[in-house]
Amino acid sequence: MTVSDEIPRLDRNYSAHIYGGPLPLPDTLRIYTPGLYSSHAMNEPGCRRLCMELSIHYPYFVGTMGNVPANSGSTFSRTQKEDFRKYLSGAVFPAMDCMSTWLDSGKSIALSLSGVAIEQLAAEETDSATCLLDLLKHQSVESIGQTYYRSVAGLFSDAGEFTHQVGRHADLVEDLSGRRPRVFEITEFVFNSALIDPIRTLGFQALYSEGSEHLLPTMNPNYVYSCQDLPVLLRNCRLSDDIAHRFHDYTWDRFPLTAGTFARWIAESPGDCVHIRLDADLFAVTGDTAQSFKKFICDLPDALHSCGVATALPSSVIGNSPRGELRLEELGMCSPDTVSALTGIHNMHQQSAFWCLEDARDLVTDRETWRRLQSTDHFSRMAISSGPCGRVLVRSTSQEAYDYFSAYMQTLARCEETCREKLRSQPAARALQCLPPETAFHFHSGYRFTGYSAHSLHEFSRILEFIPDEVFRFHHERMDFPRWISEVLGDTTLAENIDRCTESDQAAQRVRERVRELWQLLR
Amino acid sequence: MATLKIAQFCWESLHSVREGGLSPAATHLAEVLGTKHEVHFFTRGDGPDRNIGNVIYHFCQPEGDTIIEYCMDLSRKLLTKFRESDTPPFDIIHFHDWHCSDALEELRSRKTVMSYHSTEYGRNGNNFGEWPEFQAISAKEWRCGHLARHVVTVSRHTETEIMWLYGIPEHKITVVPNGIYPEHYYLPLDPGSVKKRYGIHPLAPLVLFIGRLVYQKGPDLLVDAVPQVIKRRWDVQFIIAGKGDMKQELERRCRTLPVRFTGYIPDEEYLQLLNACDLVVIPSRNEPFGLVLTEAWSAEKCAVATDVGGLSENIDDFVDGIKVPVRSDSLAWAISYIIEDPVRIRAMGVAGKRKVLSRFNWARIGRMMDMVYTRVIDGR
Repeated sequence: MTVSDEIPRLDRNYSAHIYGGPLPLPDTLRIYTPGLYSSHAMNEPGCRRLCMELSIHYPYFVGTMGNVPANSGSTFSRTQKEDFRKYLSGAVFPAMDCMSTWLDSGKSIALSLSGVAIEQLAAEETDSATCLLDLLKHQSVESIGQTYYRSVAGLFSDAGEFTHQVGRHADLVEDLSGRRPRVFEITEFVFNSALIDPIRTLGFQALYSEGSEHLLPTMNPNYVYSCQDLPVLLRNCRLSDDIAHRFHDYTWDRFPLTAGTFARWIAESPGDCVHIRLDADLFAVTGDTAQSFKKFICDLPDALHSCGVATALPSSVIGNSPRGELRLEELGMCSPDTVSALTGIHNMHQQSAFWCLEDARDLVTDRETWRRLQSTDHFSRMAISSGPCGRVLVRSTSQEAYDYFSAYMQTLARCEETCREKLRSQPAARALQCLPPETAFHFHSGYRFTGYSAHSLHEFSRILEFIPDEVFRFHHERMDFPRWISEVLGDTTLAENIDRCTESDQAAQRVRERVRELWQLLR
Repeated sequence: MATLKIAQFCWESLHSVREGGLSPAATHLAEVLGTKHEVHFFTRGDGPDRNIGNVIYHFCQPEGDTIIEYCMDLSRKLLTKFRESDTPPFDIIHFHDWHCSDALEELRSRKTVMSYHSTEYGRNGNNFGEWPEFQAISAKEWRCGHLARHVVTVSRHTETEIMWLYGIPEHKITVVPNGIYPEHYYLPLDPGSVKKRYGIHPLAPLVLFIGRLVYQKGPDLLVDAVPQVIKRRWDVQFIIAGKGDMKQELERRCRTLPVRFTGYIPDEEYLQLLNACDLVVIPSRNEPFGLVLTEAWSAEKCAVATDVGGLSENIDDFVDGIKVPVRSDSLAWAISYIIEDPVRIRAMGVAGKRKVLSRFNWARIGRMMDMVYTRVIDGR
């Protein structure tokens, strides 16, 4: 037994999140303090089952300044293949080695393998890659359904693209494993209640989502919930992040975490089944750290056995009677008609990119490129932090986030330009195009930059709806609007019309009408 | 406990003249006590006596050239009103702040309670003043504390402050925090639509300051922090709501910054802003309790606040808010730090809401005040 096994579980991270001083805690709050409150004290049995999910995904990143030359004609990073190989050898294969020990000891795992990852794995044609894909056929492995590209398609106003990608992933998994996924994974909260029916139609029997921090007061992620009669499984983010974020943190007062301690926490955590998610990226560590992490994961099956915890597949727990009804909005997902914060779209750059991406459906004829640009990873890289709930914590500077946004918009703009000649009306396509920051319209008050920019005509009309009068007047007096519309977007008709508008509402209305006309010219 | 006849003296209320945080605190306390006792509320205002929410309001309209003369006249007129209702006699006479000190002087032989919601020293941003009003008000505060049978403060901080400033003995003081009705402050809405009304992008993080624009509340500290915040995160927007002496100067300093001054805003607008913002900042130099904190928590908002007074006592650092020293660079650090983490900022807001429900609900505060009254009546 190590020192950490003997210390009562009052660690800083946990107490900081849970306790507000010496207040009596409602029972529901105690769910994440398994070591402190024994299952007997809670009058609820501890978890006897664990669903361990390994996530493997590698998107096609757009090239930022360093790895794609300006006129290379390449849409995505030119080092994509090398980077993917590094990901395989550094993260995926070590992860699979560990997971093989789980399977050898009779434990089961859930595998969340994205369509783009499978596609790149298949292209490798190496024995290791083939072995990995063969794992999908293993009886103790269950594949989790998702959008093929792990994309933001779930946020589009039309569910068609989302349905297409989910179906394509399910077909691919069925081809490889002979079994169709039964549980659908919501990635990055990109989902809303309007997608429940398509998911059910595609044959899924349950949803897998994240038990966010803010659900703590009312919900226990170790139970099954339901949403419109579809079972919802929630990941235990605290325990997932113990491994993902805190395992290597030597300032954590539970450091070093051992398999025995972790198994005991699971066994003492009240509920039916603990769902843990691990990103393969977590295995991409080197030296002693890698050894201790690998040992921890490989020791876990025996430790779980000693604590009386069995492993289970997600589809085997969906039959448990639901603990309660869950609204997807409570999980942080948007309602069908709004895209709010916490849906994977957190900032203005992500919002601009998302709107341009959705519009690009009719401007980029190369469907594969358009879909690769939908990956949520692109949007994560436009923010300065990401990674809760079992993912590697990624932090970047504002400049890095901006650079990625800029590179993404340039890529999208370049794709649209390349495809323009295949469209019905090239002038209309030009007017509706996505713009990189260099040619976007940046709103200014006369004293300062307002903080928002229009990267397309569509976004321009949305911003005109709420800009303050002084901002409109400033640009109107300088004739910035008609100049930008005619010189950058090439739409002289709209440029003349907008010059006559004296109020922002009037201008917004005129732009909206023109956008509608332009789409009609294209379709 | 037997039903008591209670008189509350306060120069403001939610149903007449409203100045700041004192009016909701005193009005709601009277209402919660009114559910068990006969409560009369003596305050400024027009019109005849009215019964509102189990409380009988008695109004008067004082006059005076200076604040001291005005409050002396207030005491005189309220005493007249008081005497009209003093049969049968009141069991408890409760004074809120110094404004009715002359009435307290007059009623010193009765069972009196004096509540300190703040001190003149605190209202001046922890500074002593040489000017006549400061001296006179401080003297009245000192006198009230010694005349009253028992003293109530809204936080431990204020308790210590009046012990230090006015030499009021500790055994005479009980801390009873302000309560709140959290349901009055929570509004389910689309934050983006509210932000748009202020010319702010729906996804721009919005930091809200609400309060009087006076030195005590530290709006200048927030304004100094703004350039440091936007250096780290360029899209953060600020709204400073409220009026006060410093408004003009602050507006001048913010001309090139993403800060909007709304001036005074009605309650409905305040609720919308409170629920639409991402973070509430309370940069006070002195804050006996900090009502804005409990209001922010009621709306499930995280607060960044200075480590002073009631704010210091009530916030659990990095659990339901972030406490910082009274410095603009510290404020800037905390705002930049927490605004980056939408999940954590929300969790802190929810943790604050839990605290409000368990610790600051009016039923609990009413029971605490009942215990103070019992103690005064029993002569303990």
